Amino acid sequence: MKKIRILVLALLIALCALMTVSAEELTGLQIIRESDNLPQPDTSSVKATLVIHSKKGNEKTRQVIMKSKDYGDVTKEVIVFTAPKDVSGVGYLMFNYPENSDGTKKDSENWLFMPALKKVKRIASSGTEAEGNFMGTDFTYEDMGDRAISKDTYTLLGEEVVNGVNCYKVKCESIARTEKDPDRIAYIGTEDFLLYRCEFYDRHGSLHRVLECSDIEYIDGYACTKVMKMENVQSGTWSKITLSDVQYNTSAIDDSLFTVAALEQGRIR
Amino acid sequence: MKTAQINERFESFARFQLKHRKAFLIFLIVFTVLGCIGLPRLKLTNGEEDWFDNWEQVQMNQDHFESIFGSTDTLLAFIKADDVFDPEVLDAIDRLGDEIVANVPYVEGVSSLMSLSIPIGTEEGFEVINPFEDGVPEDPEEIEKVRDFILSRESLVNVLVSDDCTETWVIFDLEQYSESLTEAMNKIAPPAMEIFNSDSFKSDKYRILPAGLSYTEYEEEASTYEQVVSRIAIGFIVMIFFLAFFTRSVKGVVVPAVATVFALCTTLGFSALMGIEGNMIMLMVTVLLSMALSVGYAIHFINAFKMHFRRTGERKESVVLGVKDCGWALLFTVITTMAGMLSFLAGGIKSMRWVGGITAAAVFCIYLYTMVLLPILSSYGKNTKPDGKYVSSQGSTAADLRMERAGKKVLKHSTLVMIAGFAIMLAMIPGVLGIKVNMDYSDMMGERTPYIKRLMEITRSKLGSQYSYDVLIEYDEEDAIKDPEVLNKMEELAARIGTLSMTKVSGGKPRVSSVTTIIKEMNRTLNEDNLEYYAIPDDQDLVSQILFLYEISGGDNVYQYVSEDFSAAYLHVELNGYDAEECVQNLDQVEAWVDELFPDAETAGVVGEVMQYAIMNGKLVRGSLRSIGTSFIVIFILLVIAFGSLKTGAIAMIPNIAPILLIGGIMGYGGISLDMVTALIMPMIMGIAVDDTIHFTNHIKYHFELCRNYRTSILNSYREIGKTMTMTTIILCAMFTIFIFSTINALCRIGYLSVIGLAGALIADYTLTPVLILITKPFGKEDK
Repeated sequence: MKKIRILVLALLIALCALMTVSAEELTGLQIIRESDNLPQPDTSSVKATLVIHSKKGNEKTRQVIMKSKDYGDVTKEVIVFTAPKDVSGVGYLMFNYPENSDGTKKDSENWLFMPALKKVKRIASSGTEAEGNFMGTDFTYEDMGDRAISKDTYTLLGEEVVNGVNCYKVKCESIARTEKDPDRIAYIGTEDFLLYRCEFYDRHGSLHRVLECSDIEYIDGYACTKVMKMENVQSGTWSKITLSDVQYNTSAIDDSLFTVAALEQGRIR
Repeated sequence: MKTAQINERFESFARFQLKHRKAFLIFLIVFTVLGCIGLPRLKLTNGEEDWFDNWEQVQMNQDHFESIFGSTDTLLAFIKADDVFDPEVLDAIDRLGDEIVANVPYVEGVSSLMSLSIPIGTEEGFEVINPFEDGVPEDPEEIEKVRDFILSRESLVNVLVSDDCTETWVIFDLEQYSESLTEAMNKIAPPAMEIFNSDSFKSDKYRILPAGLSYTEYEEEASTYEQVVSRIAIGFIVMIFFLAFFTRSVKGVVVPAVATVFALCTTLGFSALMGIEGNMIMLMVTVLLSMALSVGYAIHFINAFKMHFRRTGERKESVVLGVKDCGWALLFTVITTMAGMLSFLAGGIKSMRWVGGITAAAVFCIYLYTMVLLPILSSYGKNTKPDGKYVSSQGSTAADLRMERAGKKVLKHSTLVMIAGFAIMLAMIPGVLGIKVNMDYSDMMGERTPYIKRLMEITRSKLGSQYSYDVLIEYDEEDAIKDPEVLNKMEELAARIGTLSMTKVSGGKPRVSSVTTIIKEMNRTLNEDNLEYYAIPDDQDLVSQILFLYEISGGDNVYQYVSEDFSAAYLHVELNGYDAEECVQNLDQVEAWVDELFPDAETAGVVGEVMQYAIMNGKLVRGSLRSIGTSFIVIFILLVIAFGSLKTGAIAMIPNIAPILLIGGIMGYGGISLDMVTALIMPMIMGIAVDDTIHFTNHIKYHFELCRNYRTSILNSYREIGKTMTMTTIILCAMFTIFIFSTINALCRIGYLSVIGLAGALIADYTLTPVLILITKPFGKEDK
């Protein structure tokens, strides 16, 4: 079984502090840094609807409540499924630790609650499955997480308009080349440094997946990408994540939510 | 109508043909060009689907199955070693996984001993362990511990690794491709092949045996293509050799060779223009048979022409007389051969119908080209003086006269000939009745083909199997499969299937897999790894949540066994081999159990290629009987019409039953099963073998009309066409001998059974035909 990782929607639900830097002064790496450095809230609470569209046209819908809090030395996150009905109440509690300067990282801690079992189970996992599909969608855990800037090299290819927004077109090439999609072309807004589109290329240089980000709103001063659609152009499947009820830095998120007891008591709503 | 009258009409036609020879040549050129336009559009396929006449239905079932469960194509590497836990073997598995994932398109992940994620229940919860996460341990004790741990997992032993640790799989999951299998396999197989065969994976400690749908399909196509091209090339050389040997003239070699090539190109071209898709293996039968018949037709004409030319020295007149002598008999043999081939249309098997139809058309074209080109081109040239040596012998050669002497001996021992002939035929009957029908595709292909040999080695191993079937259980409401009652019934069905004779058992464990294994494993994991919980939970919500947990944790396997909405599931059953009768009995039993256990299911039953084979088994028997019956009846009717007499038709049929009984008897006694390819042989040989009977009987009748004496007519016929009959049979046998050296079993069988049949037919024609005519006197009374 694959390890369940914290859903840090850092790249996509990033805060925006508009930077006024002219394009000619920026390199690919600088653009990515600007994007990565966008401020993030300490706490977030969202409801997400996951639509998974199969090759044959079937659609499955799942709904989750996600809450997270950044404590500096650890990010705590809780995810509880609310639909479909027979899995309502299934929840995860995750403690994720940041990467040390030497590249090492403490293993995350994960707990699972299954209402039918009526008890919490601790999940211990030694490995990471960054390239595994996130919750059965076309997104991978790595897509949803915070990829270290040092893992890629960056080349600014130019500028292009995406859905009416002028974007930098930055080619990100993996140094290790071990990933399923080692090359990406990211389209980052020239004004807001937010991600609008990302094309993922497989090891053979063929376009594999395309991410489209839309419905970007500013909530409490932080930018929030409310709709993310990932299409696998090779298999013909796609998945869409739609966020609603987004709350940042709210006082309603208290520390007791990130406990095993909260999961068991069904306090995550 | 008397034969003499028919022959005169052919004589008139020959005169007309020579008078307008340029117009005939122009017509033939235009016809050839039109046909060849279609050649680039010719589509030849090669696959099991070609054998199924009801492929659309099969495809519909398959599509329905795939619409629920998705494609199941994977790339596999079967690792055979003395000990798969040897550090060198483990290292190779690790490297192989990395290289394939990095270099082969569509590969999205690898499952092997080196990349396991095993959930283990603990007191607190569960732990996911990758035993080789840090690579291959240097300490042998560490490796022993891992070995013991892996062998303790029910879901891995004799599934991923054999209990004796000599076999293991490296499984590469392929992403579902939206392009066709042919396009995908051309991308997947070549780079995979390069890696599998590279020096870095050669060792005396292990062997890598690749497998998987797209990989083996690619190999099959390459192997078949090589076979087809090499056999046709050899066939062409053999044809040229025999033409040169028998005709001893440049014209005698070039004209039939050109006629054959043009006739085949035109036939295949027109078929392509009509949008008819062919079969690659069967094309060999068409091409080689066409070459053989072409040579035969040419020799009949050339020998007749030469006989008259030697006697008269008049070129054009000899051409006309040659056509007069053999034109009708050749046309008639063409019609009967076509009838034999067209009888495959009654067989109901797609590729048989194609080869029947296309060969019938090719045979007609060969006749058309031969009878237009040979007389016309033979008419060009100078006249010569009659050869005195041959004038007295009516143009006959020494060989012709030897044939006549042999004929005299046959007639002298007519009673013995009859007794021996009928005794052999009677002796063959029990063998014919003992022919077994068995369509084992692997047996048809044979283990002399390297990739089949490799696949068979995998099949015979503990972990592999060649044939399998699926039992589909489909409800009309969502989540029906999550019902513990349904899951327990699936368990019950799996247990029963495990007791069937054809179900493969490895290490005492029947090879029946379904979603229940995943649920049981997960339930055990969630309950401190307690074996008591290796069972289906009673609570449906718990089943739902277990499956959900499995799926969102990245367990893709679940949708290999259940539909996305959990309304359908299937059990995958691997077989220990293929025995048609046993399979049919097993499948009938499974169907009965499914009806008993799942009476409320919307659809429930067996699907998969084995089911199709089982259906085809019965169909093949009926199809073959229909083909043989149809060719028998049609040829009989044609003989009756040709000879204008029921009695003559019946007599002419007897020597043609002999080779059929001979082939059938050898198949029965030799344990050669009737399958999609061997089913071709009997109707085909009947259609070809009857040619000599027609030539011989027709000649005897013609001479009888001239001299009203059976003995004289028979001896004249021995002298005039006896040698030609031997020549044509030798050529046909030589062509079919090419098949004997094929590495494909089915073609090899076509080869030697056809050679036996054709040789038997020639002997029957030399012996039974004249003796029967002499005894029964079918053409009327003799003049005293």
